[in-house]
Amino acid sequence: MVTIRNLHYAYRRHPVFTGLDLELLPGSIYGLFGRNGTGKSTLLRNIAGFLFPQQGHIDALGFTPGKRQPAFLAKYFHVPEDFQLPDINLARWIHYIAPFYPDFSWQQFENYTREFAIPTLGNLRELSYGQQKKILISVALATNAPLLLMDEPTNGLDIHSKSQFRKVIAGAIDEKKCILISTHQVKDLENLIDNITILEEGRILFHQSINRIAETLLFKLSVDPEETAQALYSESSIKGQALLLPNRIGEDSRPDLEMLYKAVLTNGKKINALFA
Amino acid sequence: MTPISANQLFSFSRWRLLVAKHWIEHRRPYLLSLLAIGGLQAVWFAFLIATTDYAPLEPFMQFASHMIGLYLVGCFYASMLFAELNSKKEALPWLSLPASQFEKLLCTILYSAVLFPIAYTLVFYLVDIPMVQWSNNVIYYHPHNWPGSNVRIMPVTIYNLFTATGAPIPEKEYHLFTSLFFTIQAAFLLGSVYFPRYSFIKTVVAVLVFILAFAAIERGVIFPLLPKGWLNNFLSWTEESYQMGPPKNELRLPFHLEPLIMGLSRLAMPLFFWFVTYIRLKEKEV
Repeated sequence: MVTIRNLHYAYRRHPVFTGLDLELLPGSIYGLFGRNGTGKSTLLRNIAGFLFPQQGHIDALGFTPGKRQPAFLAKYFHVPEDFQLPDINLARWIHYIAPFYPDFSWQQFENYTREFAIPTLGNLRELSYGQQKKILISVALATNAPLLLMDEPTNGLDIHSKSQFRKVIAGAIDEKKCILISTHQVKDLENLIDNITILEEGRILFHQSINRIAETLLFKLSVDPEETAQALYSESSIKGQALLLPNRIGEDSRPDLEMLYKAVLTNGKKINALFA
Repeated sequence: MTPISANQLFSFSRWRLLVAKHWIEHRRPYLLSLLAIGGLQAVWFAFLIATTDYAPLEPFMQFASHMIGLYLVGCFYASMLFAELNSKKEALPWLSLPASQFEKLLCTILYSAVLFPIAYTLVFYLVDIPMVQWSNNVIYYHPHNWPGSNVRIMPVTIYNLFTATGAPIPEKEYHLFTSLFFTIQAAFLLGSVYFPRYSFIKTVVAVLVFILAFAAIERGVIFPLLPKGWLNNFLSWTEESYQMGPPKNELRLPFHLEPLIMGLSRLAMPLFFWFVTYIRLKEKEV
């Protein structure tokens, strides 16, 4: 669905990507994690065609994004971290925006607004940032665009809305769609994403499916010092040591994304070696 | 490299949607601005009537008021049309809206170069006609002569944009000021894409620098090449200037070149600026 080969991108003299390769497949929700300034938003904007690769090539849905062809623009929706909705009411805005997206579903949009408890009356600018964000997410999903790019979508959402967000996204994915969510709030995407991609210093440090992670790594709590010594990563918790271990005997455990993220940043080579 | 199909460059139905979306999102500020323009014009005309004893709204004053407003407001408006590209939070939805850059540019041109002059002129006449009436009433009820003469001040007529009677010769003969408006406005439209911040001021500076450079080239390069005693008659080249003092020798461009240059100034320059704006839009990164 999205293939990135040898992507180079720099802001003036500050290189962000120097030969990044990445493949995103349909039917998946990708979580794109990384520290501030590692290029998460830049990657999204390259895929969306807002920025042009200085070297390398991006193919998204069979299009070159930088050409900004309407046929491509109608097949993806980008939810930016910071945005501004027009100074009109919701119904009017949707009435004028929906025809641009051939697969836009009014029924779905109504369902999402109900799910998110969005007020449908009044001017869009009078709504809070979180409510505006929920509107944008609802529009994004109702377009039924095969590719959804979301930059920090849970920023500004309250606790209840975050859980609604996970529910709505999980219900929206199908085998024809691909959702890429960039965030530094790893916990917000727990039990939602099925692939994790970690960016560090402009390169892909880790890119695996949750299933592979569960097969390969073991997340457990332990008080055994010997086990702690073998851990790829460990951190103290109230119940003992939270450990990340190689899953040698196929034990079941629930991947802790935040822990995995920190482990990859500190011990990436060893962890990646287990997936080789 | 796959070529872009015609439908990906322009589709009338998509363009129509863009035009409608632009209107619905901007109609409130547009209507308020038109009201403000009409109000300012009424205040200006009232000031002229109140402070000028002798035919305050003669056609030349109406022409000048119309032109100054058209240039000032039209260029300011054009410099704001792509302002959303300079703020990331507005630029991302604008760029990702499923329409081609060409359609987005055409929509902008429709509003700036077609609908704006029409709306502005309508507002102008909505104010101008009653104000000229008022001015004529003043003359009618308080008749007096031109200073130092026995000639009675006559009622003035409404300025006619098409005949341009009462306007300077270049406007009357060639509608040069009206044509030039589209060129200058197109330059401001380009400026709104080219300069991320303070686009109006920066474009004013750029246009002034261009005019100064042009004048310098004219003085330094072109004038020395012309015959001795040559007189620059740029703004009064018609037969009327001959009546005042016919030239000994007339140096004119070849017969077919003059209308060509006039045509270029009317059509090609705005088209050139719009084309460069289109290229800049395609190259715009956010």
